[in-house]
Amino acid sequence: MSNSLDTLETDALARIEAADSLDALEALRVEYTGKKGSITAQMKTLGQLDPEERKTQGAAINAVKDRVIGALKGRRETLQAEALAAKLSAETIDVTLPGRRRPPGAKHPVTQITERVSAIFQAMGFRVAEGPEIEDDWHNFTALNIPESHPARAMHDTFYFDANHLLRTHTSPVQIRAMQESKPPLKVIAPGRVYRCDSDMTHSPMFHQIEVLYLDENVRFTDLRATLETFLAALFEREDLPIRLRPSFFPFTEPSAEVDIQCVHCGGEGCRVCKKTGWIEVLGAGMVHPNVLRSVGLDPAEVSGFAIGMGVERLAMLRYGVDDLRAFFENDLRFLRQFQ
Amino acid sequence: MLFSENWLRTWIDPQVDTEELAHRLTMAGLEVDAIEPAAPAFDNVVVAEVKTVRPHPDADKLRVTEVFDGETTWQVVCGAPNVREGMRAPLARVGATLPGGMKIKKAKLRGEPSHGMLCGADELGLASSRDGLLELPADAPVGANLREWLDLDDAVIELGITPNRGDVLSIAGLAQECSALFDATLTAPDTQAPAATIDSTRAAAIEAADACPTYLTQVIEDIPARGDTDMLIAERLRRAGVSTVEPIVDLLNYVMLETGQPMHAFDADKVDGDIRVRWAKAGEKMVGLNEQELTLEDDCLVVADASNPIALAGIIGSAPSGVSGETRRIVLESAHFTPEAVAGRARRFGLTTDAAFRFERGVDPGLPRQAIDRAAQLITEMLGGKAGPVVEASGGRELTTPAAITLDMEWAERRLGLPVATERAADLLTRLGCDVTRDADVLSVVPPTRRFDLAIPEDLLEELARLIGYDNFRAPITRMTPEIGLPAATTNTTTRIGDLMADRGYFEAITYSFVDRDLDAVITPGTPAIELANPIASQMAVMRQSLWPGLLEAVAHNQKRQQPAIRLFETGHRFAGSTAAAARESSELAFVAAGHAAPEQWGQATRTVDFYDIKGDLEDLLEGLGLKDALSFHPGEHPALHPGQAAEIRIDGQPVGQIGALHPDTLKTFDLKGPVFAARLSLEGIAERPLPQSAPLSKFPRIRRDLALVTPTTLAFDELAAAIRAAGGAFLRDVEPFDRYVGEGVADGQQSLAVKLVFQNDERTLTDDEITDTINHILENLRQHDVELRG
Repeated sequence: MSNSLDTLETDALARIEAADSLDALEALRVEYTGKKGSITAQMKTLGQLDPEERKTQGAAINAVKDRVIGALKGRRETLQAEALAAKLSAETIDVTLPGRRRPPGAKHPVTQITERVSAIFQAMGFRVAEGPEIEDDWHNFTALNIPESHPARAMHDTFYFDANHLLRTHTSPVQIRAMQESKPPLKVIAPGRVYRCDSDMTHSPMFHQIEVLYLDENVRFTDLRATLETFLAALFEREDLPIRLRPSFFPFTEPSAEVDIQCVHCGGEGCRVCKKTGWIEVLGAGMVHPNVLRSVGLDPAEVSGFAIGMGVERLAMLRYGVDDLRAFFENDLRFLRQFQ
Repeated sequence: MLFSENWLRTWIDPQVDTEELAHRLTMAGLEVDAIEPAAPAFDNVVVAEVKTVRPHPDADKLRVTEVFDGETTWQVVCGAPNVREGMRAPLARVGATLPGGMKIKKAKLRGEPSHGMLCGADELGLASSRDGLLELPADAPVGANLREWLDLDDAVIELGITPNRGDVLSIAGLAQECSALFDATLTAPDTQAPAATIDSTRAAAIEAADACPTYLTQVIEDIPARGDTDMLIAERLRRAGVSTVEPIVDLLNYVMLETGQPMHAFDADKVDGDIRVRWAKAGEKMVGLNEQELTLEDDCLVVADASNPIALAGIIGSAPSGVSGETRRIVLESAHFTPEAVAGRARRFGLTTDAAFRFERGVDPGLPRQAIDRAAQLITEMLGGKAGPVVEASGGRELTTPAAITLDMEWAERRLGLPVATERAADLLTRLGCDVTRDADVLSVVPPTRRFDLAIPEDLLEELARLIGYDNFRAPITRMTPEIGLPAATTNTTTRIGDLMADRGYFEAITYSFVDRDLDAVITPGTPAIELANPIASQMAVMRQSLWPGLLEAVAHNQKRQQPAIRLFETGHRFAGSTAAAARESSELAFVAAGHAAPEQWGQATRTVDFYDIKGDLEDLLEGLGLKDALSFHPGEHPALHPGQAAEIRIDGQPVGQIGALHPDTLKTFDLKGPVFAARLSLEGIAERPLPQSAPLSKFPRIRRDLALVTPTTLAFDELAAAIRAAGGAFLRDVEPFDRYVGEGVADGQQSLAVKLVFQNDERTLTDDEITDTINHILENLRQHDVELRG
C-alpha cells in the first residue's frame, strides 16, 4: 500500500511539475484530488482497514494530498505568472513613437508684451482703458496741446478721413477720454493700435502703443522715475536694471523725458543692439502739461500727474530678438510658432 | 542736425573730450544720434604744387609730373585728367597711409618711377564721387599737412533736435547751450559791419506785420566774377551736411549755420522795383529755386516785387530772382517771419528747406540785424563788392518781448519732488540767458528772445531739472491712492479669450485695420466701408468691416508657404458706418481653420478639417467662457459662406456672429485652397458670463438608454432633441447623438441616428419601468416628426 502511495505521489508531483498549461494543471487536479480522483479513491479504501492502520494510513494519504495540493498551487502560480509575462511581452509598444497631439497655438508676441505690461501696471492699481481708433482732431491733437500747424504734427504722418477725423497717431487721446470720464485720482493704462502713414524697413503704417496716465494731488517728477524703475525692472526681470531719463520734448508733457534702460544684451558694455552706447531707448514719459489738464477742465494748481507712452513692437523686438518689424504683421505661422 | 565739433570749439571750448561733450549734450536733451570723423584716417598727405606735366611715353591715360612738396620735388605718375602745371593738389608721400589702409610706396608705372600719389577728394574720403584731383586754392600753403590745413581731425556730430529747440539749430545757439551746461564763457567771432560805400538801397514794405515784424535789406554791388567757395567755408558746410552751390549762396548758408538766421539774396537786376511782404493771392504762381511750380494760397506769406512773388517767405526763393554765377548786384534779405506764418506751408508743397525748418520752430527775432552785418562782412571781405546801407522795414509793431514767468520755488519742489535752492535756480536760469529777479523764494524770469519754448513755470522746471540732470531727481513714491485695477470676475477678457484660442491650437494674427475695398466688400457687401483720404496703398484703402479679409489673406500667405494645418485667430476693432464721423467701432473675435484637422500621425488617418471641427472649437471656447448653455446655432445665409454650411451664432437667442465654410467664390477671390472654415463673433456679445453657482451632487445613478432612430434628413438635430426633451420629462438630463449613418439600407431622405439619453433623479433611483414608460412616450411623440425606431 505504502509503496503504491509513494508511487502515486511521485507520479503526481512529476506530472504537476511538467504541466505546461493551466488547463493541463486543472485536469491533474481533477485526476488526483477531484471527487473521483485517485487520492480521493485512496481515502475511500481506508474503511476496509482496522482502526490502528486506518489512522496511520489516513495520515499518510492526507499528507500526500496536502503536498499534491501545494504542488498544484505552486505550479498554478508559476504558470499564471508566466502567462501574464507572456501577455505583457506581447503588448510591448515602441514608446518612442510620437503621441497623438493637438499642439497649442500661441498669442502674438505683441499681445504677450501688452499683457505683461498691463499686468504689471494692474498690479500697481492701474486699470485698463480703451478708446476709438478713428479719432477726432481735438482728442488726438488739440487737447494734447498740439495746435494746428505745430511742427510736432508734421512728425505724426497722419492718416485722415476728413478735415476733422483721423486714425489716432498715438494712444494719448485715451488719456483725454479717461480724464473726461472720471475725476482724479486716476490710474489708467491704455494699450492699442495706432497709425502713421509711413511704411519702410523700420516703420509700419500700423503699430501698437501703451499709454499710462496717473493723476492725483501732488504727483511729482520723482514719482514718475520711481514708477518707471519699478515697471522696467519687472518687465525685463532685472531687479537692479539701471535706467536713465533724458530731457526730450512731447507737446503734452512738461518736463518731458526719453527713458533708456541699460542695454540688456551687453549689460552696458556697448554692442550692436545699443549702437555701442550701452543704453537702449524704451519709452517716452513726462509730467502732464497744464494745457492738457485745462483742456479737460482740470485745474493744474490742484492736480498733477505723469504720462508714459511706449511702443510695443520695440519692446517685443528687444525682448524676443526680433530684428525685422515687418515680421509682426506678415502672420507667417513659422514666425508665430516661435512664441508658443 | 549736423555740426563740426571744431567749429563749435572756436566759440566755446569746454575741457571735455568728444565723448563727454556728446554725453552731456544728450543728457541735456540735445540727443547725439551719431559721431563721425570729418575725414577717415590717413596721414602723410601734404599740399603740393604740380611743377611740370608731360605725357607718359607708354600710356595714353597717364601723365608724368614733377611735384614740389615744400621740401623736395618728386616725379609722380598721375592718371587724373585735370592735372595741370601750377595747380595745387594733395600729395600722398611715399610712406603715407590712405583711407582703407592703402600704403603708398615707391613704384614704377609702365616703366616710369613714381614717388607718391596725387589724390582726388574721393581717395581721401572727402567726397563719394570721383572728380579728378582735388584742386586746392592757389594760396594753399605748399608743404602743409593737409589734415591740419583743412582741420580734418574733427568730429561731425549729429543731433536729433526736438521741435521745441529751434534755438540750438546753429553754432551760436549750441555755444549758448554749452555755456549754460559747462558754466563757461563763449567767444563769438568778430563781426564788423562793412561801411556803406554806396547809396543804393532797395526799400521794402511790410503789409503783413503780424507775420513779419521786421524785414532788413541791403544792396551789395560790383561783386566780381568768382571761382569756387573758400575751401574752409566749404568744409564747414560739408560737415553740416550742406552742399555748396555758389559762393554768395554758400556764404549765406554759412551765416545761417553760424547764427541761426536764415538768409536770402536776390539778384538785384531781376527784382522789379520795391519789395513787399504780403499774403499771397489765392492761385498766384511762383517757380521755386528747385524749379517746382507752386500754386499759392491766401495763407502763404510771400516776398514780392512790383509784379510777382520772388520768395515764399522763410521757405524758398523764386528761380527767376535767384543768384547765379553771373550775378553782380544782390539784395540781401534778413527778416523775422513768425512760426505761425511759416508752419505747415513747406510740407503742403512737399518742400523741406533749412529756412522753413528753422522759422517753423522759431528764430530769435533779435537776430536779423546781426546776421545781415555778418553776411555783408563775409561777402565783401571774401568775394569783394560794395555794400549799401542796411534798410530796416518794420510793420509798425514792436517786437514783443517775452513776458516774465513767475516761478515759486516751493511749488517747484512739490512738482519736482526734491528741493532746488532758490539761489541755484536763479543762477542756472541766468546762465541760460534769462533775466532773473528774486523776491524771497519766488523768481521772476524773463527768458531770452531765442527761447520760444519758455512760457510757463513748468517750462522752467524742465530747464532746472535738465541742467541739474534728470537722473539726480530720485525719491521713493510718497503715496499712491490705492485702487484695484482688476476687471470683474464675470468679464470675459480678451486675455482669457486669447488663452482659450491658443490652447485650442490657434495662433494669433495681427492684420491691418485697413484693407482692400473689394475684399472687404466680398465679406460685407451692401454697406460701404469708411475710406481713408490718404491711404498708403490701394490694398489698404478702407477700414475693415470685419476681421475676415485680413485673416483670409493670412491663410493664403501660409498656404503659399506649404503650411499643412492653418489655424489663426484675431481680436480687434471692426468699423461700421459709412463715414468717419458716423463710425461705430466694435470689437470682434474671428478665427479660421484650413488643412489638416490634426497633425499627421502614424497611428491615425489624416483628415481635412471640416465644419464640425471649427464648430467644436467655438463650442469649447464658449464653454470656457461660461456661455455654452446660452449658445445656439441656426442655419443662416452669409454672402461669403457656403449656403449649406453656414450658421448664425446666437447667445441667449441674440445673434452674435457667423460660422461656416467659405463659398467657392470667396475662396477664389482670396486665392485660397478650400475647404476653409471661418467664424466671427462680437466680443460685446460674449463679454459677460454668469458667476458659477454650485448645486448639490446627486447620490443616485445616471441611467443611459440608447435609441436607434430613423429620421428625415431635413429634421435638424436641435429640433429632434427638443422633441425628445419635450417628451422626456424632468429626469431626462442629456440627449446626445453618437452615431449617424446615411446610405444603403436607409431610404433616401432618411438617416439613421443613434442617440444616447441619460436619466437621473436627484432624490431616488429611477426604475426600469419608469424609464421604459418615458421612452415609449418619447417615441410616440417623435412619430409626429416622422421619426421611427429603426426596425
